[in-house]
Amino acid sequence: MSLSALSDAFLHLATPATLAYGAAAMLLGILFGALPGLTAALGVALLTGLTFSLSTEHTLVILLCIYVGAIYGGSISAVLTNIPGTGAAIATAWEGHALARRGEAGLAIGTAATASFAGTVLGLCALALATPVLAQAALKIASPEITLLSLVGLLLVGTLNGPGTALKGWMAGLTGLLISTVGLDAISATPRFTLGSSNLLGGVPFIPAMIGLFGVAQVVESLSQTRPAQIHSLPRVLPNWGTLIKHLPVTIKSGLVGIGVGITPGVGENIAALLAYSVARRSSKEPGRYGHGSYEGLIAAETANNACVPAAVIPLIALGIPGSPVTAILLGALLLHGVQPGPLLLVENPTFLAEIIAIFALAAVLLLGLALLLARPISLILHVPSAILLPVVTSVCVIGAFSLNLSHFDIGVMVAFGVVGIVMRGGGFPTAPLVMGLILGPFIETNLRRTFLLSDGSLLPFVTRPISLALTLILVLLLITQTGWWRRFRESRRSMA
Amino acid sequence: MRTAEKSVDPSGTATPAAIASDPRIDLAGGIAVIGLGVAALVGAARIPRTGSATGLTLYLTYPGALPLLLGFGLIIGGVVIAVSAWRRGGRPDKSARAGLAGFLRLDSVRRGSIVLGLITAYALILILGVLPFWAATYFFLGLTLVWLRAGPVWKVMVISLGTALLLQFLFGTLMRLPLP
Repeated sequence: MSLSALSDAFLHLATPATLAYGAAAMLLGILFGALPGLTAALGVALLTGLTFSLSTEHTLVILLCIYVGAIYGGSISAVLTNIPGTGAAIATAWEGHALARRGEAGLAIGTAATASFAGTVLGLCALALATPVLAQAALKIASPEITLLSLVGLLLVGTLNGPGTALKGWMAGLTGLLISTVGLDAISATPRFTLGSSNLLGGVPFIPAMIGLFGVAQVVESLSQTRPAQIHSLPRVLPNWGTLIKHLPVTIKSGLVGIGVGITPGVGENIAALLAYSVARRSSKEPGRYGHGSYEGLIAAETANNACVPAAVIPLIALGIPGSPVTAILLGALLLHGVQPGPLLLVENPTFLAEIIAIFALAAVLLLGLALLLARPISLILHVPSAILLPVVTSVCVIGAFSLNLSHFDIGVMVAFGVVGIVMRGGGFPTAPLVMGLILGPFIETNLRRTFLLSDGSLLPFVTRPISLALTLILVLLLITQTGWWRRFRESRRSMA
Repeated sequence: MRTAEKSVDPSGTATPAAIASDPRIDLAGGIAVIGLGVAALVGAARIPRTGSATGLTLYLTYPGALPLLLGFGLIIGGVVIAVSAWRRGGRPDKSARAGLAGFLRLDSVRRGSIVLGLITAYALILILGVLPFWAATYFFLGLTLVWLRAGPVWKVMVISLGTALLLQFLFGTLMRLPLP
């Protein structure tokens, strides 16, 4: 990627329409993040449907700004109400709300905004540096490696998102894969599991399914609870520059943690924030402050979750494998716009990476500006009762599900997946692996069958090629570490120590 | 070790948070996963085995290969979840039926079911084309907000009508999106 491509990309973005789309999307993203019940995943899924008629560039500006904004926005409700707006703001609530109780809500939100900006910039640097290298290396891998890498991502998201047991996460992932096989087979055009419906020949529509899983299910769950939140008032929002400079090392360290988690297929921002918070706490000179309003802990969590966002796009562009559940939806959006992420993307479209970097840079600037300037008015939305807001969101979900294909069938799919989401949540099955399975399904199937066709049904390509062997070992290790035998082995080692 | 008793609050009713870790719920979840796996196997078996390959290669490359493998995976996983739940005390007995009845009587479950019913009715009205979008949205919002006691009825009706017309204008007129 050359500097001229980057400057061209920046110049290309500097149009009133693009900036207006970016600012509006950032504001919407922050609102989505701030409102408990509305998530980054729902925001991206919903806007994918609503922006289908726009150009690919404008769609990407909107979706990436929503994503960055929503991950930061979670900190507003976390600080003011102790309810994290998104899963990525759980650790932020632990420290931020304690600060709000001390009367430092404005400082906490200002610090969270600045840390989120720093995280996005760090992630952006990683995106610029690592993507070309990874894409170059990915040109040397073939079907067996792609299949295994996708499966590793699926197992990881199942392991890390499964509440208590990874097995439920894996089953959710397999269910997603199974749903992805509905429709005409990509190789022989044989109809599968269509129940005689012509609407299902093209497969289960992805975006309505996502809106159902993340929107309808969340609306029903949120409205089924009557949990009034005590909202702290928000004075002037400004970061304390002294605090930020003092915690510069933890900012960089947490950014690196976020980048590492982001690059790992399937994991995402929630884990990045918790991991960085835990690393910062362990290496802190003041661990006693954690849980009682530590700026260090707040900065660690907020830097990592936003650093994870651009980093999660790295495997998406280079390998075609999403780095987080939200980037799985982003992959669906790119495919809808005729962009096929993967090793060949940067060969066929050399300016694509520069465009994405420019969009993330725009998102970072918009985030800092809007987060600091508009935090107070944004926080007022928390005073709107969810009993009014969430039914309205349901109507917007219906429009989002319908507008993509102008199909009434898609509204039915949205409601059906809403029910699936409710049942899964009720049974303790995480929904993120199902999303990954659904989006990675066609990719895994095509490469798996191609491997078997080329090797005449042999499993040897999975163990005779060096990268394949390494990935197979990771896969086996992931499976073994979740068995009862492994847990007993570790417990016996611990008791011996 | 988690037990069935821990999923019941002091009043004898299952709490929603405990439901997710209740071994009886896990047993039901495991059985559902097994059922899904069996359905995948049956569906995969019905897919025509086309192609020039023979023997095992045919089964690994025909259009039903992935559903077949997934079916086996789901059955194995479902069995492990169900057996583990059974060992943790998830056997269906009288207390399980009482727990289920208590769960169904939970205020949150009742509220959730009614909200889901309202959303389903709203979707059906739009799918069948009974009412135009703004009118269906007005009735959906009005009924939902009244039921959720979001405010006085007149206020709720004004909010519902205003929101329905605003959505119609914003998406239908301004953004020129076709509405259901």
